[in-house]
Amino acid sequence: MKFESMSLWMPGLAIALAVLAVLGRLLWRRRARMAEWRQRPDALRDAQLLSVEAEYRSKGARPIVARVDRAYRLPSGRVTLMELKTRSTVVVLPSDVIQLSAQRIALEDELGLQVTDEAFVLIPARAPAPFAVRSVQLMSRAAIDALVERRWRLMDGVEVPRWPERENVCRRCGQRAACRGAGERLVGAVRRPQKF
Amino acid sequence: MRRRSRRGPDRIVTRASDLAQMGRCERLVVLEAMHGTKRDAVQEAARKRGIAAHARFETLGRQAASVSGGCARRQGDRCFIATLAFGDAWQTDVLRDFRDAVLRRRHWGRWLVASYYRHGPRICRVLRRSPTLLRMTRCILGWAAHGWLRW
Repeated sequence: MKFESMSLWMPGLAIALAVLAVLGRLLWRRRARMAEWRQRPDALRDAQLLSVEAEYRSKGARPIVARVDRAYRLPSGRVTLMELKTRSTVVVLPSDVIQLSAQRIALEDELGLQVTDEAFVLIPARAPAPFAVRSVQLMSRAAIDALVERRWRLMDGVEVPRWPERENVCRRCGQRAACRGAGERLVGAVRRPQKF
Repeated sequence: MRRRSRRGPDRIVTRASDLAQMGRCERLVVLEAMHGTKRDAVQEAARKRGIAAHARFETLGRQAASVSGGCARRQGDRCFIATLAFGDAWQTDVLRDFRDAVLRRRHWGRWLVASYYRHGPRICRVLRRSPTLLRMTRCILGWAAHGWLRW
């Protein structure tokens, strides 16, 4: 009698557990979608998530390799970039604009898609919203090419590196002692032959 | 005397994150090239926090993409040949998107997908032995991925 009753409710229990597992998974995925959707700015509400943490490479003599945090495809077919920054203050720095502009060139060259001039930087914020989204205008391809060229010239020691525009950049810099020691003669130090 | 360059012949690629450092401080770019990266304990802790936050951000993005129909998903995928040809690249994601958006919605497409899964591992074994065939496959699939992305 006992065995008969068990044989009746055991398949029922198994089905109930399976249904619960499926429902749980559906809810979990829905929760993830909603969380991702809440991170989007208004301009990307109708966009499709195109890539997550994907690496792209530009063409040319001096290619740029960029890892894009998220890229969204708008209904118009154009792509918008989003970058996560985990700094304590909600502020967009020039380095963010340069990084996103370089990402745009790499993505455009590899996928052949057009990327919008506007990109977004996502920065952790305090309550009520977990993230603050800031819009940035990207630099032109020519400006990034010039920057790449300048970087290589700095590496070659033919350009004098500029001091930062803001003093607070130096406050937490790991190279502070070496920078102070090199002084204005840094360009000479770079020219020193290196073994690598 | 000719100046010697700091970079070797294979070091012509510029990473976007390295380029971004130019916006912070050019002297830092040069000094890091000379002495390597130097971080204090606070900066190291911040870097680890950043890596963890990026991992969470990536996971959330991939989970969301698997629901919304984006081509950045990873689960339920068995694209043997595409993975062999491109690895974990955007082309693989785009081809998966094509499978789900076009093939799986049609009777002949489902048959094609089933045949692909049946014979895919065997084809992969052949491709692994022949670099020329693999290059050709990469070329054809890359073209197909581009086409689907633009369509």
